Amino acid sequence: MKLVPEILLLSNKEDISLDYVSAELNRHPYPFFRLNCEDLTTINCSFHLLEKEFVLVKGESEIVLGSALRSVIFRRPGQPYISPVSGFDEKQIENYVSDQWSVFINGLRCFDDVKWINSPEADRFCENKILQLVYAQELGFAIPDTLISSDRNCIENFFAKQHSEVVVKALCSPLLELETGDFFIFSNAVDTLEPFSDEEFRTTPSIFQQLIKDKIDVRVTVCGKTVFAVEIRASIGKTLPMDWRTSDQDLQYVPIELPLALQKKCVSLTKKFGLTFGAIDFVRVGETFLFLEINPAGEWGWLQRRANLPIAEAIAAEALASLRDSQCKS
Amino acid sequence: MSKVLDISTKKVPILLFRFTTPCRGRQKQSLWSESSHKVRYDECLQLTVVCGDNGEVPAIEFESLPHLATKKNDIEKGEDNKDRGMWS
Repeated sequence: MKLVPEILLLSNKEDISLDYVSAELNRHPYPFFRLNCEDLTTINCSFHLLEKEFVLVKGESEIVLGSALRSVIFRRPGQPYISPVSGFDEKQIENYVSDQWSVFINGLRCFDDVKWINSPEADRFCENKILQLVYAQELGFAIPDTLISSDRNCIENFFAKQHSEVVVKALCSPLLELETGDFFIFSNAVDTLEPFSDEEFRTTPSIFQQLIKDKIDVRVTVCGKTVFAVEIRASIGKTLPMDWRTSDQDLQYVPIELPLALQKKCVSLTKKFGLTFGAIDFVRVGETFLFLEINPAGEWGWLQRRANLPIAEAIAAEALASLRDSQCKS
Repeated sequence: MSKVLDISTKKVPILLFRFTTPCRGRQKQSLWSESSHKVRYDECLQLTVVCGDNGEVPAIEFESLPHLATKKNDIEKGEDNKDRGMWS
């Protein structure tokens, strides 16, 4: 069976958020294919230069990615997997295999007039938290007082300015994969710097931010010009920890309407990074929304069902819009 | 959640290593490994389905998998690191 998709999903099998998009696209007549990239080593893949086509042979199916392609939804592609090879360093083999596939998949950027939601380059560009803060500031977002530093003196001055009420966060990638296990670094409030050595400060820069008290966490999801917002609230009679993600209680996600001016700023910020999709975290104090960060591949499946927000529909609509644009042009 | 002391700054002089919390890493363990239900990826529907009492249903519609509804699961998988620059 030959399939010529107009929409390609690049992800992994366990991305439940993308399952919502698959379900939505199944309701439309346009051919789409979900390539779960961890399976790449089990598929026969070729790029034919003359035809400018990627051909994937999977069992009885032949998937041809070529001039018909109009949209790519790129979200957390799974890392290609191979079994350990006896006598070789597992990590080196893994890196080699991943590098080759990375180039192959990024070759899909050769097609003109294909809309990427989001492009790998835009995602990577947006991961820089310093750029996020600078762009947000330029667009007029309110931002907690922030220092990014490895200089103990600067950090101590900032600490004094904040009356010893500071949050410390990683500048990027807070996942550690160690031999002893995998670990995550949440945002943490600190009220003293005494336990830390000079060397600890100097080894890497970290984000130091004004601790915001009596806050309400807000997640804003932007898809094109559509903006969804929810407040994250504790169950009645309970309070949330500083980083609400560590809470073990049943949280409530309450849809809210953002002020129109703030909605426009959120759309502008995603555009500034070249993104179609972006998940933006705020904390609200009174009527003020303070920007924390934007995540180009932020999780949203938890909102689709719990808050009943049609985010999958919005993503599918963005992908389908490029099909219609293409039909209008021809 | 408990802090992990064996990678504290006594061994590694990195400030934020004082604040590590165990999580489930990427690719180490399937999201579904703790599920008592039979789960498979449906190549035709292009999504995960769960075998329930009334036959197979998309996992996103299966009420008995509460972890699907929470963002915390995302962190437990360690997926908050997105695609890590396409595996680099």
